[in-house]
Amino acid sequence: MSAEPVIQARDIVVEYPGHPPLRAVDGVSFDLYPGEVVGLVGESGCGKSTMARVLTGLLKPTAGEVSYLGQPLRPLGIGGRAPELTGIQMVFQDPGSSLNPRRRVGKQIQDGIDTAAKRMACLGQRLSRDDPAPIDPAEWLVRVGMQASDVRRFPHSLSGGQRQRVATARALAARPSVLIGDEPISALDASTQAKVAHLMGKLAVSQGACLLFISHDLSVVRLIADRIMVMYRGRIVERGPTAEIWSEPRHPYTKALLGAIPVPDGAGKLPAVADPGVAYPLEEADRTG
Amino acid sequence: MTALLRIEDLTLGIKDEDGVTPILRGISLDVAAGQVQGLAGESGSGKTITGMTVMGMEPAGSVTSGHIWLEDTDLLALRGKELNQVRGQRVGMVFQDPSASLHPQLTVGSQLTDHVRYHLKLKRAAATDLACDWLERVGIPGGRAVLRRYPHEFSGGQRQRIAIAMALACSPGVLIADEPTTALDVTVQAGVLALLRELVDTLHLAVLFVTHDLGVMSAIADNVAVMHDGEIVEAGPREQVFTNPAHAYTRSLLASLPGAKGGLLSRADLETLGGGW
Repeated sequence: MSAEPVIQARDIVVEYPGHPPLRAVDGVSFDLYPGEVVGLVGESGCGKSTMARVLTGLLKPTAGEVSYLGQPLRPLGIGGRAPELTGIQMVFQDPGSSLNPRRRVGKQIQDGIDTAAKRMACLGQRLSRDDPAPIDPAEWLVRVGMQASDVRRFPHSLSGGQRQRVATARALAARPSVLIGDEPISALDASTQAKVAHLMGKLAVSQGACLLFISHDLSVVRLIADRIMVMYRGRIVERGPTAEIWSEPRHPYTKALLGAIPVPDGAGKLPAVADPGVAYPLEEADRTG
Repeated sequence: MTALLRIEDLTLGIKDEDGVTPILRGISLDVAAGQVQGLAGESGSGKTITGMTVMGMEPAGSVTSGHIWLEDTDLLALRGKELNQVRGQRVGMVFQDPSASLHPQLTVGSQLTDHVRYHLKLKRAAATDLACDWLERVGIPGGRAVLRRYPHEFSGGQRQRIAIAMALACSPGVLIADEPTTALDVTVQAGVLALLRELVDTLHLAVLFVTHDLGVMSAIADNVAVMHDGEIVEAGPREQVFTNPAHAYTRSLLASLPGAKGGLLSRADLETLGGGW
């Protein structure tokens, strides 16, 4: 990659207190570059959501460091997010709870636009109509495939897919350099999932941002991601370009994960069953050569 | 092949101040022994309510018409005690989320034996033996000691296996499975699907399998019915529905899925989706 990474995560370890402590993330390092879509996949409990919380500063890692645009990422305090850190935005799993039910969607998208304005003001810049990103909530709604008149609607009158589009618009209106989606499509109907995922990727990349798409659903991730990282028990066990991982997985866990995906081809073939007792190696698969 | 479960022109509406809101608009389905009848559709299409109505668990204020034949019994006409004789004994049900469908404060043993003792009039010891057999059958190791444990001591996949054992303990002929693998990880889902298929084949169960996941549907169903807005828009053998869908709605559903015939196979296909839905 030519550009500087927007996010550098180095040897991130997260332990949750307990006896013994639970190590949710166990030494994860990666870089995220502008304009790419990266899929972080894994099953429940593998630490992918914990990783999202670390990258957004919601959780302070037990060890390791995240830097954002070359600066160490400070965890969020009580006073809210520092303006320079609003370039990291997140779209959550359930738009029903991440959108404010009592505010019109236009107002909520305006929050995102205001966030961008505030951050740019810190840099001595101003939002302008000539920017590639709209500065009007109605335009944002059109961009995510809704009607301009929907600005007056409340979240409850929208479908799940529409709500997630609004949440995406709000996050992108803040003009992030990193957009993190934590299972953003798993609460949606199957027919809407690919559309919303595609929309998130396309819009983020068109703004020059990076999308980190966290999901358990490899079949959708594979369509939108440039690169995939597979997490298992707090480690990244395999990473590489999507097409290569899909066609030639090397880690036994990745193989099991890919083999278990039921394909809607009507062939009546049951997905391969892995031995439930098997523990896969935690070393990252070597994909060189 | 004669149908074990026959749903005939089932309609269901919910009564409120403004009249009756139609939910199901004339559903007809035949499920034969040893067959998995898949019921697919998006949220709000009425697929779950169809399964619930077979179990006599339609929501309060429902107005129904039509018939649900279980051999010669019309389940829709049954009330109270008569219905209880059928539920759990002749028709079993597995729900989506085993952490919600299993009682957290009761041991696995009591949940596996209570209904067996009630329905089959078994003594405690005989019911316990039966429960042990079932645990082994659904792939939960540990024998009798497992019966004293509580649901939270098991993983999600194991809990769903226990829920399946519960549903089948009285040897019902019909099983209603409502999104039984949706809450599970894919690798765990694969195991539960294989178990269900094996049980269907060995016990000759008639299964009504409700799911929104067409990948799962393709793996387990023999026949598929696609629901939309309270109606079955397309029904037929699995392969035909998946590879040669007759209805425009089925085609649009498949076109939006990764990996389906006519669906999304590469990134370029995503561009064809457009912004609408």
